[in-house]
Amino acid sequence: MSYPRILRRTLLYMSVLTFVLWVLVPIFFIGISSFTPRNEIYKWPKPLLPSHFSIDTMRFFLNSYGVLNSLLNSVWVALLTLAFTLAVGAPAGYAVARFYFRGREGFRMGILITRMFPTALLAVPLAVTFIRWGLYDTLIGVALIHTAMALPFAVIITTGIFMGVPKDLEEAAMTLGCSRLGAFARVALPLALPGLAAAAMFTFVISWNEVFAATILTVHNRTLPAHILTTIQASPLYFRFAGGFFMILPTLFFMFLIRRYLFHMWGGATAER
Amino acid sequence: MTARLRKFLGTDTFLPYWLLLPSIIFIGVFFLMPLFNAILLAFRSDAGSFTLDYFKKMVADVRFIEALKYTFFLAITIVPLQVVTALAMALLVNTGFRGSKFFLYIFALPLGISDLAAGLIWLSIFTQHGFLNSILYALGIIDKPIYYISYQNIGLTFLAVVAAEHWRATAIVMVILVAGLQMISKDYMEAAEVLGARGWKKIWYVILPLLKPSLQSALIIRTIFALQTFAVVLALAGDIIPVLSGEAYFWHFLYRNSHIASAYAVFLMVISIGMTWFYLRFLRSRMEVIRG
Amino acid sequence: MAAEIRLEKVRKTFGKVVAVKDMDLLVEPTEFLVLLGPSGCGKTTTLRCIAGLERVDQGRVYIGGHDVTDLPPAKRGIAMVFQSYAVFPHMTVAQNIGFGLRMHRTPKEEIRKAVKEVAELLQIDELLDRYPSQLSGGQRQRVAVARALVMRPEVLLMDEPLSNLDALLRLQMRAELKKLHREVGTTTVYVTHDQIEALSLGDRIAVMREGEIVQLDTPNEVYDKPATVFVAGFIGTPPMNFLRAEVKEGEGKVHLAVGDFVVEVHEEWRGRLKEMLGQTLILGIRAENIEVRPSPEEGTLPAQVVVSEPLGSQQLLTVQVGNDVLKVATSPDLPIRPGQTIGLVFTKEKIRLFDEASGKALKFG
Repeated sequence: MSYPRILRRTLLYMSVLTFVLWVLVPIFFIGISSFTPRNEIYKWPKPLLPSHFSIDTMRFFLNSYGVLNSLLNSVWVALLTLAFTLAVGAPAGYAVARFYFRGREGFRMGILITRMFPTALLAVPLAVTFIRWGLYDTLIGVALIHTAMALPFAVIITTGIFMGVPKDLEEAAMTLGCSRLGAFARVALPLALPGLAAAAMFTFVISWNEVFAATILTVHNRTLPAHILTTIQASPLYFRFAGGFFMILPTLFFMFLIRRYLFHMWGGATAER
Repeated sequence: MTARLRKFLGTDTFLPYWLLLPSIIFIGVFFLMPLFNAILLAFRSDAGSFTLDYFKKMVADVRFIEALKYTFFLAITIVPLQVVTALAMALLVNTGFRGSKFFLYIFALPLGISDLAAGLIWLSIFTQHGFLNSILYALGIIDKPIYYISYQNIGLTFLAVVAAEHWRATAIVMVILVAGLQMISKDYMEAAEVLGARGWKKIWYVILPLLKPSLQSALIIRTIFALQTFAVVLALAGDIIPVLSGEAYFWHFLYRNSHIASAYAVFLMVISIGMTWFYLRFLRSRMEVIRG
Repeated sequence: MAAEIRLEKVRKTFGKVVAVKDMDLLVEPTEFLVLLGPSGCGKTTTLRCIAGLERVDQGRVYIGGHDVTDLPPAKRGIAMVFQSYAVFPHMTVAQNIGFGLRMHRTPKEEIRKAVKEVAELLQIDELLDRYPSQLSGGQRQRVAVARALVMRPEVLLMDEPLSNLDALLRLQMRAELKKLHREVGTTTVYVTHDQIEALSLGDRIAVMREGEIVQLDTPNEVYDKPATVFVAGFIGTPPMNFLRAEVKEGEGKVHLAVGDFVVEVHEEWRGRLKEMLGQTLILGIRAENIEVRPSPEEGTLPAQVVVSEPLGSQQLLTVQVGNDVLKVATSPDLPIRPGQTIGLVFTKEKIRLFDEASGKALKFG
């Protein structure tokens, strides 16, 4: 190995390491903050590592008024969102992937444009509408607006997934005795399932993370982020740290599960928020 | 007649439209209707006539100009920072070194972290007894904590928000750029090397021009969402730094005035459209780029 | 078991493109019919209309005398082999082959037996437990054929089934498909753009162009008596040579003039040609129907050799006659150098004449 080559290697790995630290260290910090004894959070000078590992802060967070309830709400809303989004988005993705029809490009463009809508533009008027419809402060109401926010991604992602299942396979099934629906269920669906599962987890993450609309559309039935946001000014620091850590736990787990799909399945069409 | 109609609607020509119908209805109810209602809320008085009162009230509010200023500053600091960082990460990963796939996943981690959580994560760093002060103290640089987040240090508070948002949303830009890099044919790279382009030259003359569509889509998406920055600011800086989305939230949530909240929302939408138009116009690109 | 297929005025359009133009076609029971044509000629669309994968805009499709125009593929009694094979990746070979029978609720034991039988026929009985990803292209192809045959269909449809195989395997599979068809005797419609495949496999060939059948004949007829200039140019390697020829009369005899050169014509043609005196026709002649004399003698057409390609069993010459370029096949032993001037003699019986405007072959007698 020549001299400049070694130098270049070193430089490469140093830069990679820098970025890795930049990404991971803050996550590490919130992690140890959530397991630091409550009184040590305010200590000065504060040691870099807590004196001992303690689940005291976490327990305090989970036992705080409204947290467990909002946690359950969050899970319900995310599951509802997941179900609504796949039910509405996947057929559209399938249509765009399988058929050439008049208005196909127009539909795709429309879907993309909806991504540019500010959340506030959806949430504020919908709060007014939902009061009229009896959906205000309900989990279904929040799930519906989360579905609207996740729908563009779901359509784009499922389009990619179904494009990966050759049309020939379904047609072959049809010539072998399946109806169109049967061919879809027996051939396209099993092959698309891993991708659809990834899309579902991604939808879950979008809903789990969303805070603006969830806050605007609820009063009592808060989701976890909405609960944390609305009580943030009145909460002690350790509550906020534990909350932050708790919110990222499931999403980090899901991101790990679907990591293979992050780049290959939907390439550029990844999510925001 | 009905039999014929049923046959017509049941054909393959109509199947895709049946499949699209749910999402079209959804878009109608949850995008077009709110858009329409927001405009009504922002421009229609209680008596039912057209009015600019809500906009006048919005502009007259002391925090409006501040919010506009900070939203704008946030966008123009964060977006370029993110594009540069993401580009560096994407190019590093694209060299395909040993373990690059694993590091790509690490780099993409913040993708799953919400803006609220990101704000709280960086709060643990920037709060007065937080990790930054602890480290500086341990290194002997300071002996009293610095107040990064306070009305006295708005500049530092602003930088703390920038740091948090930069950290959180660079991953999305990186994913778009990595996807773009993967689409560039290896032939171009090899042709460039045969012609003698190496290192920086290759990046500047070959990779960047070919990556332009991805860069544009990343810019548009990030700018639109940077304009909506909200929970990071609220979690980290409370109401020290006003932003437009935050004002919409406060007007709706605290002051129960959905007219002015809608005015803010419409205003945001107009800026978003304006920025997109600006990018499309001045970066000379096609509409495809918003595909992201 | 084998059924006839009948298309009546079938039309299929995609937007403004007419893929199949009011087609009439009758495929006899047990016949092996090849649809041949360049890409985009509508041959695959025709096949998909028979399969029911495309809904026809107009006209009717009959299989075994039943009107199947409005029936889905599953109810047409057809089986199809796809160009991409379309072998289901999430099923084993045995599950793939048995899929159709399972859809028709055949008892398990019967399925097992039928799968085994057809797998033996196609020599893939060793592979039954494997997944498609563990198979070679040729093996997947056999699975696709087995999956179709096990259904004992009334009609077997094949869409370029050999086009994804390499040259050697294709040759082998071609012979095997022919043998299979002889054994099974299913009415078969086979789509290809490869004229050699068509000539070797088909009982009859339907040559298609722009959504229409230009000629429907046995392979020999299509080769020797192409109905149009298009068919003549599409079939055969090299394609038929074309020259412009004028109908003239000299010494009381009708003949064709290619430039100054006099081409004698068949006696039986003279009567018809006499009515066309002064007209320009297109004279078609295949490379192997031109005799070569080492030097231009009296009564031969002088031509200059441009290139000589030794192809093993024959020698292919590219020669120039005036402004026209001809391909001539000759014995590989004949010593011929580029630049040399040679003499050509056309075999009288093998000459085809086409109308210049319509491109249609002239019919005599």
